[in-house]
Amino acid sequence: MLMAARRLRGIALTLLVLGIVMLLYPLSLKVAAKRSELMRTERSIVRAQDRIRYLQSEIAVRASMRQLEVWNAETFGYSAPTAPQYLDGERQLASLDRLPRPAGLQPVAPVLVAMASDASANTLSASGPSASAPKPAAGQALAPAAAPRTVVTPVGMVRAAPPAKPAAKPAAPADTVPVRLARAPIAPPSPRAGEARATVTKPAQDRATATTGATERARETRRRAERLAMIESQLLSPETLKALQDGTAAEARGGQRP
Amino acid sequence: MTTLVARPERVRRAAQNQQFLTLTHRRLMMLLLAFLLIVAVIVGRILAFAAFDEGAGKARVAQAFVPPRGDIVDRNGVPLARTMEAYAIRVVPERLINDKVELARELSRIFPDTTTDQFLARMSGKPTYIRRRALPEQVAAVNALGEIGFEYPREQERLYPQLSLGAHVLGFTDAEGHGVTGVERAFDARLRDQARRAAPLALSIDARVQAILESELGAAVTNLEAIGGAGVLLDTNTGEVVAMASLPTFNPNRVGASSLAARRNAVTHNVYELGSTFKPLTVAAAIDAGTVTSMARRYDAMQPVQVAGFRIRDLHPLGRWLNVPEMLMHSSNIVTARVADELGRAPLEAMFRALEFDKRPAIELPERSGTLWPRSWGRVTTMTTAFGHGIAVTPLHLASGYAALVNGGIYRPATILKVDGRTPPQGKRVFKPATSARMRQLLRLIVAEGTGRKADAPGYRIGGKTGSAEKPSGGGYARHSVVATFSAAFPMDNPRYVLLVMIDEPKGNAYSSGQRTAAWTAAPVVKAVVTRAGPMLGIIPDERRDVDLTDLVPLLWKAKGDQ
Repeated sequence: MLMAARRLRGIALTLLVLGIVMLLYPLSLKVAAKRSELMRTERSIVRAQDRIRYLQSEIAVRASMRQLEVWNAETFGYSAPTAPQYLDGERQLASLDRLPRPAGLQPVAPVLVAMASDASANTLSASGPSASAPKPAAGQALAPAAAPRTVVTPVGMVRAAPPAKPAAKPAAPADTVPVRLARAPIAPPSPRAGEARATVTKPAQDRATATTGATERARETRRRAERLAMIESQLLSPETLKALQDGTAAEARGGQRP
Repeated sequence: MTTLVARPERVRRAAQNQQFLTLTHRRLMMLLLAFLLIVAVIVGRILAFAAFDEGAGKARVAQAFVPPRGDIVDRNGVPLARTMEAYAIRVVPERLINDKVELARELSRIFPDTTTDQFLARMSGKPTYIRRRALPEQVAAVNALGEIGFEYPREQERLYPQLSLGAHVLGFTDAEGHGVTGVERAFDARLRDQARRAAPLALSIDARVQAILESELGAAVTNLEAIGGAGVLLDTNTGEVVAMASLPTFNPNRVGASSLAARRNAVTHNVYELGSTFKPLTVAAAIDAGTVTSMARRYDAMQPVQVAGFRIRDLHPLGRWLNVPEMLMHSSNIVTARVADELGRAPLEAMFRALEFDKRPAIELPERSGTLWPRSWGRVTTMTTAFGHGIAVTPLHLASGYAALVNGGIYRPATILKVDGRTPPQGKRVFKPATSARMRQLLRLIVAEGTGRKADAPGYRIGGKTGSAEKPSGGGYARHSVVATFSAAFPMDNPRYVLLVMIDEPKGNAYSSGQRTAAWTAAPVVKAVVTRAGPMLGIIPDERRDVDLTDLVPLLWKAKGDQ
């Protein structure tokens, strides 16, 4: 019994080995299959590379420098950028913004602007048919606080005002345009009070001479503050920022402007 | 008879047992070894699969891509020459079944550039090619004729995708695939070498700049009705040739259609007396030698110089005394001759030899011409070679000379191969650095205020010298056939590139306002090329920078009341 078992063990071992070998055989088969598959893939890669090379060459021929030159001459007409088109840095870029200037930054002589601005505002409000007609007798025309203050008036208007000074009369029931302009010099006293307030009780000449250096300085500081506010509101307003963002996003997307 | 048989069975059995046991052990041992061997083989096989199989696969793929002849690419990797499997169309006349006349008519419909008669001639006689190279659609069209006498072998063909771009640099190959001219010939062994042909050969040429130079030069040559032209753009610090154009040109894809003259590389293979463009070299040699000590010193230019039967005169006589900046600005031969006379033969000749004007140009291309060096060197030779007469060199010689003149005084041989990663060639000193700095000022002055104003592209700080040399003909000089050269460098505050443009025999027509001098013919080409190619080469124009000319401008003579 024991002997038989001992003999069988040898056979069993042999069978075991055979079994393992048979189990391993599919591995070898699989490797061979994979390898042939790899070969096929490799061959197709080579074919694809060859084709890519061919197509690349064809594209290179069709888009050769000479051809591009001809197209440019016939259709596009691009020319080399000139020196001013190159920017050195952010500073140079910022100087090219081409934004509309804030109204307060118009290149008009500053003193004239200040004198004319309040004057014209008052003139416009005070000389309206409703404002000028009922109140001449009272001798005082109070401009509404909410009157729109135009900072800038056409230069022609400002120039026209001083010569018309003598014509300034409080009682002018039938106002015409020249008369309105003539009232402008009356206004200067109002800014001194810091209010949009025009007084017509005294002769215009007195008031005009009463404008002192102190008012000038006060006006200057106020104008500066106004300008700053305007720059901030124009440059950093949500609309501007959004427009900038939209622009960059569109450019990043397709290289095209909306 | 009785026999006594002894039975030494027990003894034998014991011995036998011992023997059997040993045998069994041995057999077991062998079996064990066999098993170990099998396991080892299996493990080894698996390891082999894991370790070496991938590598083997890669090697096979890599080998499949090696072209039979290496590609040629430009410095940015744009292919300039490739070997492709192209279609050819062959005819075997005895196998033709259709009517030959009919076939020839059909073929000439597909290939309009060949006549019916030519096709008919090819279809009678021995088997021959109808087309060495045909497009796939053309092959399909011919195949659609249904003729069994046609064959469509696929052949390895050299293709130049950029057509005539840089044709003289690249050269071409013969039917067997050997290089005949240009880079194809110079690096034939490298391009065919089994080990190295997989990697493309990178040239120093920039295809974009090359195209710009060729188109601008081509436009000028056409408009000026010139017989030819040459242009070369060199990197001053490495000697790399970034662009090299020669006109007339040819298409290396169809070499047979071009003439021999068109295949000649004017930059390296033709020699010219380049005239006034030599004057800055002479001045630099004189400053170096110490004979020109002051820019303010004036020389007599009132009368032409008479030496040994020669008469050196100015094209536009000013009739007054000129200093060196004025001499260069007005391109005075008389003053140059006087400066050279004072300098003497030895330093001038040494400078020319240091710039290798006595040898073939230093470049890898096989088409290089020897220069015309003066045979006997007398006093007149010194005076005439100083302004570029009596010595003929190739345009490349002069460009290399200018590179040395402006880059701080180091001469480096020109190269057509990309210098990348490696350090640029050592070079040899020809001019002192201070001389080079002074020459930069003077060259910039010529363009800013002198004869080279038409080359002044705003913002690029171009400096250079015009040269309009009359061509020698029949012992003398032909007054009306000139070689107009403009040799420039930019940006002059730190020169990085030298650009030389030469136009051979321009006609003075409406395009150049009736002038045939370099200021009107070659200088505008320089301006156009620099404006277009400068930004590609990394030179950003800046109008707020320039060379400091404040010490030279006060030396220029101005008429009273002139600003």
